This record gives sequence, C-alpha cells and structure tokens, in this order.
Amino acid sequence: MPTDHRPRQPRHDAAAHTTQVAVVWFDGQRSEGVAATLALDANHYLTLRDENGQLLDPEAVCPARLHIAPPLGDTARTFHFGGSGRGESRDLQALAALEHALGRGWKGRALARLESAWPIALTLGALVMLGGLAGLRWGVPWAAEQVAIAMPDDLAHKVGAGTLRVLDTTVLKPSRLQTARKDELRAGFLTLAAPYDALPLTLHFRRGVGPNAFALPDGTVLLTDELVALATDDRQLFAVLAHEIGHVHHRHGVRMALEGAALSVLVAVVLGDATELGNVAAGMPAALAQAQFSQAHEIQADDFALETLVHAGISPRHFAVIMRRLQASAGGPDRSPVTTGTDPEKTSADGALRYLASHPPTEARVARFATWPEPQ
Amino acid sequence: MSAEFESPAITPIQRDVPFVFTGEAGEYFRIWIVNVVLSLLTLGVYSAWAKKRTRQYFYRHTQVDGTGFEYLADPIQILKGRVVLVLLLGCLVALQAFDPVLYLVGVALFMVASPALLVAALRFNARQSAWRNVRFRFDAPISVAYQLYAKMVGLTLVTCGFAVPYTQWMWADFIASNHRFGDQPFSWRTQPGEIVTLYIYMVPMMMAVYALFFVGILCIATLGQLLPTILGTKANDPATMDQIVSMASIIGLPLFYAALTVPSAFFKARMANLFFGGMSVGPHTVRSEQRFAELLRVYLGNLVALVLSLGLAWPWAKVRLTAYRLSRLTLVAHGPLVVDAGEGADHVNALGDAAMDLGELDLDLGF
Repeated sequence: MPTDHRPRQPRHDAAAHTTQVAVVWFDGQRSEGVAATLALDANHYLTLRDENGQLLDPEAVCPARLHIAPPLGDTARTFHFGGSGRGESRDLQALAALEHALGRGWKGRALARLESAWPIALTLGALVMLGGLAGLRWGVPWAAEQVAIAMPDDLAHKVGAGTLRVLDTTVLKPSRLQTARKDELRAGFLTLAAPYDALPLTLHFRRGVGPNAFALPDGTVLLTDELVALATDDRQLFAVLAHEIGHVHHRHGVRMALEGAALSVLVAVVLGDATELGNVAAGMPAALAQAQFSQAHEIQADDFALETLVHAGISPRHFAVIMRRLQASAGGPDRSPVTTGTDPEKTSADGALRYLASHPPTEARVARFATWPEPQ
Repeated sequence: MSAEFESPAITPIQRDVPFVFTGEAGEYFRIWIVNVVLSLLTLGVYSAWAKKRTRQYFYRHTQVDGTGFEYLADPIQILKGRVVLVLLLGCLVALQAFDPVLYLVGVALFMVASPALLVAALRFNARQSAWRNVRFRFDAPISVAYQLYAKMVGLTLVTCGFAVPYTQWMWADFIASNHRFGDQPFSWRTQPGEIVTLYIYMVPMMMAVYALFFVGILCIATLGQLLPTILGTKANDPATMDQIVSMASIIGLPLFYAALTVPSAFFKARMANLFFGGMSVGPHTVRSEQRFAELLRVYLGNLVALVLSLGLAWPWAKVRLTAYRLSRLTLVAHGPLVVDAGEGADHVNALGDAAMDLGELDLDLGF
C-alpha cells in the first residue's frame, strides 16, 4: 500500500482489482470522524480500514450489508452496514465505481441522471407549466363533473344537508311573507321544477341577507324577502329560481367541493412547504382558479335557466330585468351585487378583480337574456 | 479576561464556526422539477420520496465545520404518515360536505389533538436529523405540551390577545430548550421582554401599511368620483369606472402585498436573531445576525421573481432565502465540537411529521 490514505480517484489496481474510496467514518457514539478507506477487492470482499490499516467495522465484509444513500446533486453520500456507524464520502466517482462493480444503485443513478440534465429539466418545467394550466382550466372541472355525475343521487343530495340549519342559526331570519304569497310563489316554482322530478327540490323563504337567492346541493332553494320585494313581476323571481334549479341539476355544490379539494392537493404537491415564502404567492393562483370554476358554474346555471324559462313559456327577458335591478340595488353600475349562487356570500366585481370574483360581470351575463326576441 | 483567573488547560477555546450553505439554485431546480413531475405521475405517492430528497438536499448542503447535516427519515415512514393524514383530512372534507355540525366537531377534535401532533412532529424531525452520525432529539413529554397549550390559550383569551408576544415566547422557549444534540441539551436565554419589544416595533409598522392601503383606496375612490367630471364624460359611466378599478387593482394590490413584506421582513429577521441567537447547545452558543434591510431585499427579489416566472423561480427563491439565513448564522464553539450520542433510540413515527407539512398548508388554504 502506498502511503496516500485519501485517494481522490478510484483506483483499479491492475493486480488486485480493488476499488478504493476515501471516506470519513463516524462510529455513532461520538461526533468525531476518522479518515478511512472503503475497499472492494476482486473477490467482492469489502474492507473499511483507518489510516493505520485497522478494521473499523467488522461487519463491513459482506457487500450485501452495505447501504449507500442514492446520489443527490453533488453532495457527499453516506453509507452504513446496518449498524450504528455511518460513513460519508465526497469521492463520488469512486463510490459510483464501487457500486457499479457490485452491480447496484442503478435506480439512484437513473434518478441522478434525470436530475442532472438541463434539457430534461427545462422540458419538464415547460410541460408542468402548460400541463398545470390546462389541468386547472379543463382537467380539474372535468374530473369534478364526472365524479359528481357518477355519484349516486341520494349521496349527491346529502352534500350540505346541515347547511340550512347552520345558516338559520347564524345569518338567516324567518320570512315575513304572507302564507298566501308563499304558496303563490311555491306553485310557480313547482311548475318550473316539474320536468326535474328526480331532484328533491323544495323552496324556502328567509330574510336577513339582502336580495338574494341560493341553492343547496340537497335541492333546498332559498329566496329572500328582500328579493321578492325587489321584483316587479313574479316571472322575474321564477327566472332567478330557474337559475338556482340549474345549480342543483348540475350538482354545482358537489363540484365546488371536489374542485376545492383537487386544488389543495395540486398546490401541496407543487409547492410543498409553501408557507416558508409567504402565503400570498401560493394563495393567489388557488383563489384565481376557484373563482374561475365558480364563474363557469354560473354560466352553466344561466344556460339552464334560459332553456327552462323558454320551456315554461316565460320570457328570458325577465332574468335580465331582475339581474339589473339586483345590480342597481347593490349601489351603482360599477359594482355588481351579490346575485345568485350556491353560496350567499358571493359578490362579483368588474375590472381586473373580475377574475377573482365568483360571478361573471352582470352585463355580460344578461346580454343574451335581454335581447331574447319577444313572442308576438 | 477570565484567562487571568483560570488555568489555560480549562479555559475553553472560543472560535466561530460559520454555517456554510453550498446549495445552488440550478441544481435544486432540476431536483425540484423531477420531484414535481414524479409526484404528479404517481398521484402523490412519490411526494414522500420527494420530501426526503428535498430535505436531504438542504441538509447536506448545510455544513458546519466541514460536515453537512443528514436527514435520515425513511420515505416509506413519511408515506405512511401522509396516507393516514390524507385519510383524516379526507374525512374532514367529506364531513364538511355532508354534515357541517359533525365537521365542526371534527375540527375541534383536530385542534385538541394538535399539541400532541406538534410534539410528535418535533420529535420525528429531531430524531431524523443528524450531524456526524449523532442525532438530535426532542424530549418534551406530551403532557407538558398540553399544560403549555392550556396556559397559552388561557392567557390569550384573558388578555384579549395582548399576551400573544408572551405566549410566543413560551412556545419558542418550549421548542428551543427541549431539544438535544446527542447528550448535550439545548438551552435558551432569550427573555420575554425582548419579544415584547419586537412586537412594540412591528405592530405600528403593520398598522402603517394598512393605513396607507386605506388612504390609497380613499384616494382612488375620490378620483373615481372626480374623474368623470374632469374628463367630461358622463357621470358614473360604467366603462370609465371599470378602467379605474382595473388600474387600481392591477397596481394597488401587488403594491400592498409588497408593502406587507416590510413589517414581515423586520419581524422575521429580528425573530430569527432572538430565536437562534438565544440558543446554546451544551457549552456552545449560536449567533444569528440577520438584518432587516437585507432580508427585505431577499423577500422582494423573490416575490418579483415568483410573479414574473409564474412560480417557476420557486427553487431559486428557496435557495436564495436559505443561503441568506445561513450566511448570518454562526456557531460559537467553546471547546471541541465532539459530542457523545447519549442513550439509544426512542420510538418515533412519521404521522407527526406529515401533520406538520399538511397542517401548515391547510391553514393556507383556509380550510
């Protein structure tokens, strides 16, 4: 043996066919390292010797006991023999040669190759970017819809079953409408709902949250006294109710829950420990995506309302009228009000904020209703 | 100098041992993107391996006295913890959908369990962290965590939240002084008053940012009222208003977020200095010298890079922040850095570890 104890390069001794790796050995009893050499000879005998040639770990004979941590960037790799001692080496080439001689570590090497190539990394980066955007735009809503449709009826209708109870004890107050008035509106509602007898639709009257209407996944449709007062024609109310039945029909409540869950998982996978860099960066895209999902639901419920109204012989123009009245009642043409949705606390706004709103801008929504040809 | 009174043999030799961070943004970017892709392709299963590799990357590149730290956790163990946690959270999400009342009960149970989960996480993390093959440990019994938690909640309620600086000190003290490295216990000498002082500076800064924000909104609103008259357009013209609100939100919101990083950088820099700077490991002490202005520059640079790159600069931002923090951290060694490992292993599971990871994210997403 030459006196050089820490060879920088793997040595394939022509005579002995040994592979030697310069290591530092930590016995696990004290935080003190010993310079050593890990050697594999032609007969596949491993030895771990210190600078004086003393064997450091008698277990270190059988290669089967040797565990080497997979390569990770250009960091030093550690190894052990199942005991309390651990070695570490920066002699990455020699360690790879030793692994190669043992016919091991191909998984780690494959991963390291994948992680060391810039072309691969940049391609993957672009793919993740595009795939992520496409997944958010189409994949997540599509998957949520498929699951919601596949869900058995009674399960889907159980979603949010206790929500009305919670709302009643918090923000909602009992309605002050006359029973006769309620019956009148309920009769109209039932006529609208008649084609959808598979849906457990019921109409409830409340007040206390301003002019609003909303639907719960279990078929509960809520109408506020304030909205009844705002309407100048009952057909305007039926137009809003048709929109709400659309939310129930398309299972928007279930889909919102599923989309929200999918978003959390995606953010968790991509960012991992996002909290470290502040929540803003992580929260904004999620909020943006959630708002876009919600807007898509509103448009779908509008489509449904249009079809249902035409079918029931009610002019879709009534929807445009009540929507504009709602907007005006919320204080000016620049800020769209709380309108209709599965959640009573949704507002919509214009400007750049429109992308973060749960509802699309009112004017864009009502255009096709307002221009519907009047029957002669 | 004390050397006058003590014999040179027992005078500890004091020397500065800097924390050296050798990680590189490019190298970490490649590891990160492979982690993300494999995690997505395996529907999240690989995320346990991804976590191990990420943590190990930052540990290995953090060197003290020429040796990097090591993260020893077994990915399978991390995976088990994640599966259990995902199932629990899945139950919570399902409850939220089907039965809001039971959901609240579930959330309450989760909150009751949180001190135990936190201690389990601290234990797991400490146990899986090593330097020169000597592991860290976190030794506080769960009962102590509950007593502390009860005190913290009680104090916060009684004082309407004004005791928060003090309760934060209690919690930091609990974490810092219950760690061990091998047989060397940690101790923490930061005083409650130091954290109270920090809050006394930070709260007005925070309030100033919010005040500026509201003044800004008022200005825009006033401008919005006046602009139609100035421009001679019809009052309350929706198109004009639309443009004003657009401009205001495009410029104003990012500015507001950027402004919020000012008090945040101040607080985090000072807090890190108090937390790490108050620590001792056996005879050795720690010095943390983060500066407000420097950390602010790092934060703002990261924010700009993240926004412009649509998030792809994440690894660069993370490496940059870690490099800054560690560049300001020094171990002041009093004597040789040789430590005995102490007693044998105690039982740890990965559940607490995963609870930390996902738990923080849940708060983010407003569950």
